[in-house]
Amino acid sequence: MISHKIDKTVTCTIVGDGMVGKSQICKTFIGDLTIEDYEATVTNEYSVLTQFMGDKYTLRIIDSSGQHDYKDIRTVSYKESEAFILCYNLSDRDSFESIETFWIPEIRKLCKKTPVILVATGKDLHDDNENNNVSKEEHLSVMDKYGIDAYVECSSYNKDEVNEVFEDVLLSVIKSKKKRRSNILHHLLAR
Amino acid sequence: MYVGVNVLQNRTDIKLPFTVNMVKNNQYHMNTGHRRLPHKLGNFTKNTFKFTKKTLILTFIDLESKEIRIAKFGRKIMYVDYLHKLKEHLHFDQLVVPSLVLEHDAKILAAQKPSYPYSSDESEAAVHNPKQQFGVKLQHLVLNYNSKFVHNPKQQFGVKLQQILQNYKCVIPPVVEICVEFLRKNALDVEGIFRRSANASVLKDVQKRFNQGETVDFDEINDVHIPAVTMKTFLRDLQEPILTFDLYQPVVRLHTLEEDRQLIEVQRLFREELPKENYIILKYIIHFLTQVSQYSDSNKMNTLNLAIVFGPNLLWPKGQANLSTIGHLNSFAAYLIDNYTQLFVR
Repeated sequence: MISHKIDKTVTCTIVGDGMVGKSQICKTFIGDLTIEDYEATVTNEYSVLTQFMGDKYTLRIIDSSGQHDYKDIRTVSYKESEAFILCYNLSDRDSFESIETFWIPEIRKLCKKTPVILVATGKDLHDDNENNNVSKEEHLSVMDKYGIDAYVECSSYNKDEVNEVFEDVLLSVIKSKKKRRSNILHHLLAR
Repeated sequence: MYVGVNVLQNRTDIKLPFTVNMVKNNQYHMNTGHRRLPHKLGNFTKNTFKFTKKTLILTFIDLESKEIRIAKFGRKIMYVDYLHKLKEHLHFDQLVVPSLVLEHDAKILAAQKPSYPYSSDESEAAVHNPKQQFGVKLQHLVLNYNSKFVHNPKQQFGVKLQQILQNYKCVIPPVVEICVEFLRKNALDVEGIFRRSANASVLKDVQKRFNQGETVDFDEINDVHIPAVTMKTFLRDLQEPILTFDLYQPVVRLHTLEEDRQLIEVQRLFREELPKENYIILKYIIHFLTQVSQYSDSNKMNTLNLAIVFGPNLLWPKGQANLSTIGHLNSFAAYLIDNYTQLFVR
């Protein structure tokens, strides 16, 4: 079967504003149980062996800095990324608005077609002030507008929910690879 | 510290070079013998001896001593353009200044005053026609034809530091001062201050207002992250980093020195290589950051976090940053915050 010969290492970069919980998602996923720390990230890389739909994959996760000023360093890994995990915090409106004003433009400038998974963190800590919370309609409209492949709401500390994020990553990477292959096939057949 | 006022000139109408030495106990005495600076001063001599350009040299050295080491002398020299500026540095009233010097000072001071009543800004008048190429200063030409911002003399974002200081006649750029003052009052204990991002459209609006020379009241905006991000953006957008491109290599190489040498080297860099205006602003910012880090129990912004967040805004290379150098830049930022009292002695 040809499909089994595809590269089983999947690289994804996790992006989003500062303090939305990107590093915590990575930590929860790899099972690092150290108690919350508040250290800002410059960059980090994790490799995790995981199973998905009966296949074994090595997930290479690149944890990036949410500081907009780290553009040079962050974008180094963009080209090799097969998927982006774009995070915002449900109770931090500004981090949601940055998606449109900053992150999508930065990603799409370098990677036109790479799948993006939108992740809303902080499911466990909805803000009492309704003005700060991001409504469902809003993220749906962003997804539509920018062709975002999947949307997950999670708490960065919940193992199951975080696993779901990475399952979506693998799913969309496999899908986009298939799509690309069939595009090539179509292209060849059409000639 | 020896403070001496050395008034030198080579104009023919004033024939009295003299030195006034302030000895440690605040007493002055004056020497009227013809005294010359060591002629090896190189760059300094030509400009400083011309009365029209730099009249007074305030030197932090005892001119009496014959052993003036040239390098040391150079760095201990500072300029004041007008007599009244001396008041910031010493007891001007006690100074015996010859009447000729006073007269000349009054004359050049009067000449500096705006003649046209509707334009309070001197540079605005000078840049009357920004495309003027004949009969203007070379600097104007370079500024006008190189920078897209010159049509707005109040521009604060994306310009050179010197341009702001000149146009606003200030020591600390208004953006920095307003942001720091506000944050110091309202945001020292806010969790993730400087780390969180802020609303892009509000930020844009704030920048626009600063660029038009307005003062922005952050009380109205009601989001402490706006001034924090504004301040970072301001530093990041400068045409040259506040630590200057010249310091990039020395800072990146700093880790190769032994620990006790590092302090000496950084002190030297600040004294000799960093322009004084930049030093003052840097000191102001780092001092504020030390205050922020003192509240790290509540704001979670310890030195390390502040360094990560501020590092790439204080210094960057001319080309692309890479991972290994950014580490050095960040540890340098942390070093500045941790060693504030030893490093910023002036």
